[in-house]
Amino acid sequence: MMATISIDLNASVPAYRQIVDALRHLLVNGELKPGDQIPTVRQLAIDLGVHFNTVAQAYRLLADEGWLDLKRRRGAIVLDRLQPAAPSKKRQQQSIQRLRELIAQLQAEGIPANQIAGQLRALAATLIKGD
Amino acid sequence: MPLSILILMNLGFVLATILCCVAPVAQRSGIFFGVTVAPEFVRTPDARRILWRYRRSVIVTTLLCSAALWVVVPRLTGLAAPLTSSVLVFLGTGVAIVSTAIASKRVRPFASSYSPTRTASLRPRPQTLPGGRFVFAGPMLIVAAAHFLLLTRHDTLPAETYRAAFALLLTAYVANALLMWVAWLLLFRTRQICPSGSASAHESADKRFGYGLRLMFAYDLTAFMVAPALTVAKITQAFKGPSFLTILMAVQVIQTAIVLALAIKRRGTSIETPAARNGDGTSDACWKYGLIYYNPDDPAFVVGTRTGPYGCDLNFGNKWSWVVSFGLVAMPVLIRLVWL
Repeated sequence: MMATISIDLNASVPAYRQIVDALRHLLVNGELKPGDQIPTVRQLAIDLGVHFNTVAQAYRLLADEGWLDLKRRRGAIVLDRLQPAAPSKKRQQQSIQRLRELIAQLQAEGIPANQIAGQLRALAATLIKGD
Repeated sequence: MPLSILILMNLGFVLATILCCVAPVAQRSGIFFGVTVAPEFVRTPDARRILWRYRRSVIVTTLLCSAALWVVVPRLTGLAAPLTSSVLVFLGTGVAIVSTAIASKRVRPFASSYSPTRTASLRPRPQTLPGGRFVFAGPMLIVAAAHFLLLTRHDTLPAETYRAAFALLLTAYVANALLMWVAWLLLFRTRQICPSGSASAHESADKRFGYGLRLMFAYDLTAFMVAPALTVAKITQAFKGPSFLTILMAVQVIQTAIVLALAIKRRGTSIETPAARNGDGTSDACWKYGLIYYNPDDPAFVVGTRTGPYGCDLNFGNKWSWVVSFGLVAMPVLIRLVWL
C-alpha cells in the first residue's frame, strides 16, 4: 500500500518542515524506495491544503540532501542515495542539539519525561536492529 | 406551446425535484447540507426534521410550478409562453437554492469541530482522461466542424445571417471551453480527501462520474448551439421545428433520470471512514450558506461540491474564479455587443 503523510495545519512547526520530516522518515525507513515516484508539487499542495511554495520548499530541501530528483510537472523521483559520509563534529553537535530541542518541545506540550524516554529506547532498539 | 414540450417540462420538474430531495443524503459521508457533521448525524431526529422541511418546500414549489405550467402557460401566446416557462424554472431553482441555504443554517448548531489535520497519499494520480482525448475534445471538434461548414457558405450567405450563425458557434466555443476546463479540473485539481483504501477508490470513481456528467452537458450544449446555427445558415433543415427541440429535451430528461437513478443507488453506500469525520477537508467557515466556497489560503481552484454527490465548486478566494464566473455571465452579452 502506498504511503501517506499527515500534517497539522495548526501546529507550531512550519508545514514545510512537517512535510520534510514525514517524507524523510519514509525515505530512511525504506517505505519509499529508489525509483518510486511521488506526487507533483501541485497535487500534494492541493491534497494537504497548503501553498504550492510550501511543498516546493520541502521537495527542494530533500533534493539538496540527495533524496529526490525533481522533474518539472512530473513530480519527484526517489533517488538511490549513496550512504552519506560521516558528518563533521559540528554537524553532529547541531543534530544532537535539534534532538534536545525536540525533546524539550515534547515536554513543554505536557508529555511526561518517562514516556518520552520509553519511546526513545524503543526507537533506538529498532534502529540498532535495522543495522 | 406543443403538448409534448409541456409534458417534457413537467417531467423535468419532477425529476429535478427528486434529484433535489435525494442530493442531501447522497453526499459524501460527514457532510450534510454543506456542514461538516458526524457521519451518524443524518440518522438523528434533528437531521430528519431539517431534511423534511427542506423537501417540503421543494415539493410544494414544484407542485405550484407544475400547476402554473398546465393552467397558465397553455393560455399564453407568442413569446409569453416560453418566457413564463423560463420564469417557472428559475423560480423552482431559486426556491431550491434558498431552501438549501436555510437548511444549512439549521444544521450549523450540530457541526463537528474543524480538524486541522491533513493526510495525503504519496501515490501520483493517473493523468489519463476517461474515454480518451478524442471523447474529451468531442464537443469542440463538433463545433469546429460546424464552423468549417459555415465558412464554406461565407460567400453565399447574407452578412447578418452569417454573423448570427457564427455568434451561436462562438458561444458554443466559449461555453464548451469553460465546461471542459471545469471537467478537467474536477478530475485532476480537486483534493483527494480519502488518501487510501476503498474509500479512495470510491472517491475517484465519483470524480470520474462527475467528469462524465460535465462532458455530457458539453455535448448537450453543443447540440443546442450547433443545430440552430446550421439551421440559421440554411446548411440543413433537419433541426428545424419543435420536433428537434422535443427530442433534445427528451434526451435531457433521460440523462437526468439516469443521474437520479445513480444518485439513489449511491445513497446509503457512501463509505464511512475515520476520514469522514473530517468532512471534505475544508472549513465550514469558508462555506457561505453551504453553497459558495471562499478561502484565499486554499491553493485549490476548485473543491468538491457540498451540494450533491458529483461535482465541484469554484474557490472564490482565488481571483481566477471571479474571472471565470464573470466570463460565464458576461459572455452572451459580450458576444451580442461585440459580434452582432
